[in-house]
Amino acid sequence: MSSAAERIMDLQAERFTSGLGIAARAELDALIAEHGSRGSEALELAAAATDIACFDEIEPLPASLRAQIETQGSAWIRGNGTAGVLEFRRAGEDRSGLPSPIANDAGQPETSQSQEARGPWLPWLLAAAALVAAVLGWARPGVGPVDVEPVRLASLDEKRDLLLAADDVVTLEWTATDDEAAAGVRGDVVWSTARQRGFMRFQGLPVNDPGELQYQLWIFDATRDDRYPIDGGVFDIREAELSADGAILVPIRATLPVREPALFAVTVEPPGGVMVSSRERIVTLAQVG
Amino acid sequence: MEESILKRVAQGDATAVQDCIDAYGGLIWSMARKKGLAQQDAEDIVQEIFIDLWKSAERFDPSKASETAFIAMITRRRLIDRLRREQRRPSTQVMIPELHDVADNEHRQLEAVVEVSLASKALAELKPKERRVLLLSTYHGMSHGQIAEHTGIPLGTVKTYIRRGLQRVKERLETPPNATLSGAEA
Repeated sequence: MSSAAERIMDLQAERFTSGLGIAARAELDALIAEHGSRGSEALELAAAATDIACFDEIEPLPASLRAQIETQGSAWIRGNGTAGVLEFRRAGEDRSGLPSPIANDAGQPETSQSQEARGPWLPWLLAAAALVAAVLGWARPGVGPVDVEPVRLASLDEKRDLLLAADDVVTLEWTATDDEAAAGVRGDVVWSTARQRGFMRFQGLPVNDPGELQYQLWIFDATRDDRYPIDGGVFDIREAELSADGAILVPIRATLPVREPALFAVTVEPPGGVMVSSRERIVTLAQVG
Repeated sequence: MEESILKRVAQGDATAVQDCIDAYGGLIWSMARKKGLAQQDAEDIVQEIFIDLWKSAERFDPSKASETAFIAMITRRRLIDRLRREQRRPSTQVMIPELHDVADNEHRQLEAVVEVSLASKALAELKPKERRVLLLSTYHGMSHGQIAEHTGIPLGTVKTYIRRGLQRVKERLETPPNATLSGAEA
């Protein structure tokens, strides 16, 4: 195998396992343009087969999620595969066609707003829009797919308010530590174990440079080993997202089910966060009970 | 030969949507969860994946891959994209299935998928360390750098193991025994 072929193989292997960055993608494109590429699909198929070869148990879809997908799929079929009913995109967002097999090279994380935007409101939005599409379709027989205007997306504040109505919700005030970033930090954390969802509100937490450090939430679960708190998500405090009074709302993104939350802690970590925190810089704490 | 679910979706068969969710919803959901995505993120991306499926259904070619494998490829594209954008670190509780579970359990739901059967055989041929690295990558969605950090294996070696492992699986898939091929689902 030539060195170029080997390099193509290396890049393809990375492409189909963890994705490629901008530079690597450009290099791969250039190499393929010059030397060609064989077996790309087969390599992707190999990665997929290896992935699912390990599944000894398949979890069923959550019922609520299944209902949402059914609604979307039915809307798709009704729209003959071309309707705008599934395209509840934000203004300017291009989501046409299949995603490229190459990972998003822009490497730009979605804002918490845009991530949350497809959250629990989505089924309602889809159902409402499907209904609008159905009604319009009924009123205009013979007319092709109905294009639906983008729907206003719920804000994090509205979602937090909705969560506060949950029966088991807990609201805990943050306690600042002696860390330099903690001076003057106020706010609270809202969490519902039944819904596995929560929000953190901060005021006074310093804006961070994501290239240097990021904040990370840890959730200590009374049913788990204290040495391994649950990763609640890495997040940034961005100037542009602060409200007029300097507050910001951050959704909690627990990577494992939280069964009995005992303590929420925010640490300062290297970019990307860590799997196990050294706990050298704990900024705020919120204890249950 | 029974028409594939995706072909029926592409033809606008309303019942095919239900069938597709029945047949593949659990797999797609499980793939998202195994990558360490939070519940809400997993729910979001699974919806995106199904929209991708509706859109790409007509491109499914049973002569190239089984329907399950095709759907797994579509799913992985989205998941890799998401994991990369978020630079998300997988859970610390990484469990790699034992090989005998992978290769020998005849009751597994995916056993009938020809690619799964062949990939299992290829995995069994790998050295344990190579297999572990490959599965940390494909099954758990860890980046090559994260695997190096997690295992203590040099990054270059991690890349070599992954490339070699995928190549081995690919070769197995390209030269399936006739007996197995005849049982391929589509």
